[in-house]
Amino acid sequence: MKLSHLLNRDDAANALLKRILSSVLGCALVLMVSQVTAEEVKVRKPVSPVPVAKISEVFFKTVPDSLEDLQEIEKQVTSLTKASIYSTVSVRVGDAQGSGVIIDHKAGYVLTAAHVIGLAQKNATIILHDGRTLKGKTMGLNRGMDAGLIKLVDEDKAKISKLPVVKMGDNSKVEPGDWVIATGHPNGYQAGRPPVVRLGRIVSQKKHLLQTDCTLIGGDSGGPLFNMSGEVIGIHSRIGPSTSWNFHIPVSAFQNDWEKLVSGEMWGAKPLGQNAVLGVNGVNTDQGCKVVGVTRGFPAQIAGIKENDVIIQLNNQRITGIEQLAEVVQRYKPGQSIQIKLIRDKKTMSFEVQLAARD
Amino acid sequence: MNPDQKNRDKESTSRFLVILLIIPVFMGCFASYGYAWDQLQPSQLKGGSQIRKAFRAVVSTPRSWTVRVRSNGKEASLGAIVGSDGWILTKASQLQGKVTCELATAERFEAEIIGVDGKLDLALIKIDAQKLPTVRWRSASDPKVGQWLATPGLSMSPVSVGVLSVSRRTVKPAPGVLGVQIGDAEGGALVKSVLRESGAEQAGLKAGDVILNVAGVEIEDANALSSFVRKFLPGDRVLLKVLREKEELTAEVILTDPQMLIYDRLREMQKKMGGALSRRKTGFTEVFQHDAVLRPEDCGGVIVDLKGQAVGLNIARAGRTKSFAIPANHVIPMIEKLKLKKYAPYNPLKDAKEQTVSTGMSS
Repeated sequence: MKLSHLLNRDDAANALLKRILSSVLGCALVLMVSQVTAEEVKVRKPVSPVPVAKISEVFFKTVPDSLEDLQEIEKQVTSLTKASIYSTVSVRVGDAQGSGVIIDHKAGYVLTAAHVIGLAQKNATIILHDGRTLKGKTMGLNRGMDAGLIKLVDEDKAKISKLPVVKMGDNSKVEPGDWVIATGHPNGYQAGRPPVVRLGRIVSQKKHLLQTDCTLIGGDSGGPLFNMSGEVIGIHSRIGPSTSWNFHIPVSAFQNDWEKLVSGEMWGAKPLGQNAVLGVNGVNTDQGCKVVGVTRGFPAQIAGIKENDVIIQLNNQRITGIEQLAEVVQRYKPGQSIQIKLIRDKKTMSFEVQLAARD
Repeated sequence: MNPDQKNRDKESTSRFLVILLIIPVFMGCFASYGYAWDQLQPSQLKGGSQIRKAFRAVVSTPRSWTVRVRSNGKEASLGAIVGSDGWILTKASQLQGKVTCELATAERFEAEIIGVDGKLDLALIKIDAQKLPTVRWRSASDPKVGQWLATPGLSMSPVSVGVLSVSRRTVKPAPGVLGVQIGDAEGGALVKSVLRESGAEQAGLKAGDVILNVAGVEIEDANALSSFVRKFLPGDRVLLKVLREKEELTAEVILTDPQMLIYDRLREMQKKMGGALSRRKTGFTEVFQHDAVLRPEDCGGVIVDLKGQAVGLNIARAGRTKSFAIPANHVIPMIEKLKLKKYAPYNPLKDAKEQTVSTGMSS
């Protein structure tokens, strides 16, 4: 298949849409499963550090209720921002862009989200808070939890050993109401903009997911969530409609399977079902959904659907517009084949399309 | 046999116990769904009402320098009183038509637009009042990343609170667009279709219209139109001369951020994922970024630190994760300039060519 190299506005828009969608749905597109060889690294299982200096009383209150309380929070937060920003990195693997956090500068480990790295043994580019770049290699990933590991492999070992690192915390001590700091690269890395700091609280704590009101958006995925001792307790994974729906993988997902991650194992799968995608954009017309753009490499394009086609039917369902088409597609699963009936040049045509998973 | 029997008994007892344990745990989960006792209440979230209440002492004075600006009767922005005899700064691109101000004292005034700076998106407006409390600025030093920043409104609690996310930087401009798909036509640009929720749609443009003139500049073809309009910023207002069924009409169009028009679905999602954004949200030479969730109508007023000093002026709600504020030392010099009417208010229905406010014409 010949791919056009022309990056038009639609593509840019699609990329943007994809980026937002991927953060919304936070699900990884699993392309293949390959055998990976374990890296020759000494497995050092990170242990939870011993409790650090006592934190202020205000952090145990339901809500701060005085100026003094707010000052106390501010004092603690501002004392942690530097280390939080310095340890946060931008992660690029192929076209995917996200964030990550350096937790070990001896072995050069960076925690991120599985949906950012996609596969093990891939080249990764790591951009530090000040714009310096380092080479990395993707290690193991737990797709079910959305936990992924990267190892810095830059030739310059001295450079790696000087990197700022942060410790991993203990998720069993996390409680709703805890104050937390989120850092990352919302909307992707931007030269001249250091990692972006947000403050929030733990809304709920489940075994496999933390929810906070630290607002996240695409590009933040893989970035760290810090507690008030400056330890990483979560990795940004996905968001929901409300600004208080921001979800993070508990760092225990890394601690519990550290050896597997280090050995480059890939396991777990995102439950499929509601994430099927066709790869068209359209407008509503009297007849059906008029295609105004097909996304390169997505099922519609592969099947031969083109711009200006008017989609009128999907299997037995009449199509009336783009929103309704999207809804109908959601009734199918990635991998399923569907029949699309459309009008092109006043002729009715039929196409078989195999739906893909949204990445 | 006996010990075996005993064991079996033990086993069944322990199984029974396990079952008993599972049920309360399960019911516990169930209950938590209903009552959410293990969940933080919305009022206890960072921007929640209980937390904002803790900021009452912080904004008790700042709210007296804050005004609610209404435009044609609708909430448009907040404003900051910068001169005791009725001078108020606010966000320019939110203003349209008749402007009124309401003070924290509940007094209401009609306001006159004195000066507009398109580059910073600031407007200086004047009300007929005396001895008003004025903004206490903090301009000597910037707040630190992670410091609390509160946005006072007219009420006791601030309208929103957050922390400084990124210290001052430049945010490059996105070009403004009319929101039409165009083709060539005789003596102008043909409107092929009008995008939903665009400025063009609001202004009543229709497919088939031919755009002849924008802000006083004759438009020869589609290319000329798009390259000329790109010089403006989202939120700018331009006057169009349009030919419709042999009749020449005028229309005032507020330019839109192209990002907001890409696809209906993207726009819908943005709305769902974090609320409405400001029309003009890019193209600032220096801004602070903070994480307070603001409504676009709550931009234009000051943002204060815990000492109640104004560190800047909120200028845009720019995304789910970001709000922008112009630093105090950038705002202050503008006040005198705008008073001198150096940057005259733009009336698109009168002026024409002078109106390239946004792109570098002003300082």
